Amino acid sequence: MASTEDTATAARSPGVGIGPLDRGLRKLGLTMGQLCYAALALTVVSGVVLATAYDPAQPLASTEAIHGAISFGFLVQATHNLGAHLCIIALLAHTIDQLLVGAYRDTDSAVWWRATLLLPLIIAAAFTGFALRGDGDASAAHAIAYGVISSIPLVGDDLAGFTLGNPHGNLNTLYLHHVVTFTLLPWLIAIDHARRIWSGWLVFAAAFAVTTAAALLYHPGTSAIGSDVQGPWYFAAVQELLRYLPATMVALIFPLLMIAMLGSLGHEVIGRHRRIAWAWLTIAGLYLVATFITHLLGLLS
Amino acid sequence: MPAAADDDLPQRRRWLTGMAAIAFTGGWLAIAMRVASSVPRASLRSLHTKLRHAELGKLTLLARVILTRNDRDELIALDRRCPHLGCKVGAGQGNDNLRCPCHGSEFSLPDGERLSGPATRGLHQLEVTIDGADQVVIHGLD
Repeated sequence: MASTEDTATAARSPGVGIGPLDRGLRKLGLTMGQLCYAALALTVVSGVVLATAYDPAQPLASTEAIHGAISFGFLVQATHNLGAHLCIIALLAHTIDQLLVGAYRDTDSAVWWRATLLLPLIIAAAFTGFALRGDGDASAAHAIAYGVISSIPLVGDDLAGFTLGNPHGNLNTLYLHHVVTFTLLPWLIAIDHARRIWSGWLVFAAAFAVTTAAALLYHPGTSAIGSDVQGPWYFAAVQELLRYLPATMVALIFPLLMIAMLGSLGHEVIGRHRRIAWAWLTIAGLYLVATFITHLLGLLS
Repeated sequence: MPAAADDDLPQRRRWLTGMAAIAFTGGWLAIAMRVASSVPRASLRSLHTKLRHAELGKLTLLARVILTRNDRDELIALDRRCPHLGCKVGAGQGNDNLRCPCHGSEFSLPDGERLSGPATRGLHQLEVTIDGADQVVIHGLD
């Protein structure tokens, strides 16, 4: 018979089921959640190294110095960059996996909400990191995000200034949020979610090896100002849709709706869990297909 | 009946705690946003360029401003920020018009009127003067 403590822990634990993706990965001794956690740890470690050479008052000059003038700087930067991509992909895969097995049924609503918040926070961390490069694409992405947030009625300008700083000034505010709000906060949530401080050396070593090997093969430089803007892959479809639809709808209402749908699954009172989960999976799937096609076409053009 | 009321109690307490947490966080955010927005930002009301008026061509792109000339050879200064979402507008194909590299809005030369794309209006025109040393001075930047 389970003790009261066991029962309480089981009620709070996220994702008691094993999803189809995790079933495959377990043969390698890891899970999608662990891989995501390891990628997050990798970006934090590589980010600490990068921070010694990065200057938010001179973002482009310091990024170019990291790429060209510092020994192995390009490798650390590319590892940081690819680690963030791995973190997003693993987190998306983990979310899809957990939705497929209906993990929300066995998870406390507060725990589920905190896990839900990881998705926008990790994407925000990756996006602010992208914008911190200070090159043509990064400056444009920063300006677009500022424009989108400032389009919110009443609080838009204040909120944009608070979260993104001045897109035509230095990047101190953006840097602060990249390091503290969007990295430390998700790490704290991840610690609470996984019930451990460290991802484990084995999975960290695997993420490090894969990411560094990929970084040796792929380490893009900075982009010129004025050429056609190529945003981060996860926002490729958003960028395309912004040509035709209002910014508030595409970049605010749609993501907030997706977060609300995902978070609401943790509440038993909502009912219709299965329908909401499948609706979320379908919309997310369509978005991912659209974003990959758009990004690919952007790379080919 | 009392048992049912007792069952409701923790849930009600959790709901109240949640509401209090949201109100507390919201209050802090509102204060923080006010503080952040009151921090003086780098502002540039007028830009004294080192460009000589006589030497300027038909189209000059500066970091924040586009300088063009109209048919009467008068200088026109346009804010480079696209009115759609704030990207920096650049020269279009063949320098015949101006184009935003983010979402493809196009603007006419030399006056910056909207031609096509998601921007709903043209580029903002700035006041431009020439100082005693024939150097271009741009006013009205924020």
